[in-house]
Amino acid sequence: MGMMPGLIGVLAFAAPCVDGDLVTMRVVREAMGTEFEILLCGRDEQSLVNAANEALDEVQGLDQQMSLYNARSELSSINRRSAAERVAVEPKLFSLLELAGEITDASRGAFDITVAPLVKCWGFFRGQGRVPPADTIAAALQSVGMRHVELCRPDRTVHFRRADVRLDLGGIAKGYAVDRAVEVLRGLGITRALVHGGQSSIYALGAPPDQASWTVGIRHPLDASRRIAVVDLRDRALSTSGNYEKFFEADGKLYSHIIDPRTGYPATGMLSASALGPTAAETDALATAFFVMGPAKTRRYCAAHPHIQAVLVPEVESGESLRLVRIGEKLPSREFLKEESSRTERSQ
Amino acid sequence: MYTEHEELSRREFLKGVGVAAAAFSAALGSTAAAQEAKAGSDRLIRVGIIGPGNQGRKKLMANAVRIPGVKFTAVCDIQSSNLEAGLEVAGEGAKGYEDYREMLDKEDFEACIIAVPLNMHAPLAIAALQAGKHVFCEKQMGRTIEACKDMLRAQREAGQLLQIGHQRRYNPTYHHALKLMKQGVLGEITHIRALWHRNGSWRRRVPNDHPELERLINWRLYKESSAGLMGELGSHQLDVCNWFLDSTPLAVTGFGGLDYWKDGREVYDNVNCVFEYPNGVRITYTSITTNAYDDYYEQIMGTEGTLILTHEDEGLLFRERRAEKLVWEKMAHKEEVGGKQAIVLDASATPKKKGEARGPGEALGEKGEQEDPYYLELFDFFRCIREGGEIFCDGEVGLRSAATCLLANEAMEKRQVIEFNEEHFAV
Repeated sequence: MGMMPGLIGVLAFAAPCVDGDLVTMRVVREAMGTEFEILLCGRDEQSLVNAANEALDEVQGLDQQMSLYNARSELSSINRRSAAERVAVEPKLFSLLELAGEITDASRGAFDITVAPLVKCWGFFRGQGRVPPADTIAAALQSVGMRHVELCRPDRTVHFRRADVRLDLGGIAKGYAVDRAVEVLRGLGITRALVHGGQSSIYALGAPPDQASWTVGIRHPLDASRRIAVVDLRDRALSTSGNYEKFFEADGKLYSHIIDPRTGYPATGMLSASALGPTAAETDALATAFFVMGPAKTRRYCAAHPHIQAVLVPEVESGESLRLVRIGEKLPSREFLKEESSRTERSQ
Repeated sequence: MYTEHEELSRREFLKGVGVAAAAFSAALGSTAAAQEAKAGSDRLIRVGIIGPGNQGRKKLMANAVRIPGVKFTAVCDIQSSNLEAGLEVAGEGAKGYEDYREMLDKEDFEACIIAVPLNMHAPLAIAALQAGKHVFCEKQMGRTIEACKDMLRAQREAGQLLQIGHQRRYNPTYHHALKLMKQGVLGEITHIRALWHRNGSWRRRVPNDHPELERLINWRLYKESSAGLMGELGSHQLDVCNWFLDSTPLAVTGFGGLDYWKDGREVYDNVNCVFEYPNGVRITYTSITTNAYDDYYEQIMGTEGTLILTHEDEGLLFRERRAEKLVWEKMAHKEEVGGKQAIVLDASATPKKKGEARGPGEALGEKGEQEDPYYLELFDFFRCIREGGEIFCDGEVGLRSAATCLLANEAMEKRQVIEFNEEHFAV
């Protein structure tokens, strides 16, 4: 729920291993309502598979902890109890909640894990092809906002200042799970791997043999068979938000399914947004934030956070060519849409 | 047949005397000691942990820190990476140790959690009990029957509490299933099939630069430290069988082998056993590592119905055609499973009679609330410490479940039928 399926196409390890001793294994597992995939290179086939399975076990554990579809998950328990009491949170989950709060601040509310009541509101009316009435949206907006969530660091507790607050980690969970999987792989001595969750968040660990980096494509938002950009990644994360196929029509207009937590209405003006950065949790959240913020605000964000870069595809009138907005110094992209890129706008 | 508020009575082994699943919570408030203890229900319990590894840290510590009034003050592990990670989870003020004896000597915590390789359960648990700590020890109880008996003896002498980590005993789905069984929904139970099938080596990767850690990291693969698949996986499921049948087996036989993962390990990579219980009940148990199609479940078969408990959290009830429909079925949720009509159990859906004991989850509160069984088993452990309650999954239960699995291993090794007798359980 809530997670935009990916626009990332993996081109990785297209070059065959020159070193005869190295093998590349691919291990896939379902978790968080999608497929997590790990590609890893090394010497021993079985040993690589074991390592990938340990990393995927970690992902599954996180799914159990954070899934709102699981009534026994810690997150479900937090949602039930936090209005009435201060609830102690498992330390790593607590750090994730803090990170989510920091990104809410830094993005001025464009990303917010309390957005669920709004999403639910739109989801309900979308089923009928209608836009929710303004007062319904206003009502849902009341319970949205990290200001309603109190995180107390010394005892790692969470408390809701309102009864109808609901945390949903769908916008950051897959990226976070990718980071934790990578941590497991690193701890086991793996140095070359590509990990992704549902193709929307990906982390490149090291590089494939005889290459300087992994190569990852970003899919064209309107044509799944084409790419708009190809980026080189090494020890870096990339996430993409926005899926044109999930846009919906209501009252004669086309709406994206990514809600702006501040206005209560779907974000407009964007077809897709990708973020690059040191961790997939951050890039997962920021891809959503950038989609909501648009190019100008994303430029300001990246200027203030030089370790983050972005590739945005704004909406265009029908018949117009797509253009890319590339933001950030030394964005490691190699090529982009050749046929259609009559104009690309580079910004820093 | 089944009374909700039966007092906890001393269980008679092999005789199948019914003990209400909810009895331990019925004991709550029923004694003066419990009433007094309630007054102290807010006091902080300080906890030490030995072995904050995969299980200890990610399942036990991660859930324990969520329980109000619990604080880890000491952490011990011989592997520094685990120790560091464990200290992080424990938070401020916790001290780290590599030597458990030093920790037990110097630290004043009240409860000790033990999550180390199987052969170390007994020495550590005994030392902790003798140091005056209440002990929560991971399942299975011990590497040998003698080790389990030593632990039980030490617990009785010390007078502290001992709980064994068979978390299904605290799982509301299982309590709900047992209640239905006792109400006769399945008719007469004649067979159980339990299994845990995986496709994988069960081997953990050892860092390239530390090959000497093989026997520690892969302790489950070596006979000295492990009871193999029966001990690690079978113990969960055979414990459920003992619990539901309120008995231990009369005999066991089977075959096991190291047939596929020939990588230097010593334990079988597939186990296949049949257990005989009283009243003609027989149980088959298999755990294999070369095919995962069946996944894992306990299938309880009675003359009127079948109950399948999968993944520790889902229960499906299938009625035999000749059974009568019961009124409650209308309230249960129905699904198509494998082409058959199945009734999906929802532990919160059964309307509760006022004051009805609900099983280990009761203490947590409202109807419909659910929690991770690891959380529930730890919650109850700490509740018993505070309120002087009786441990539900105690050393006696642990001994019987461990013996069930250890004797199965012996039967497979000797290729014989092993008969259970009272000597196996006499302490």
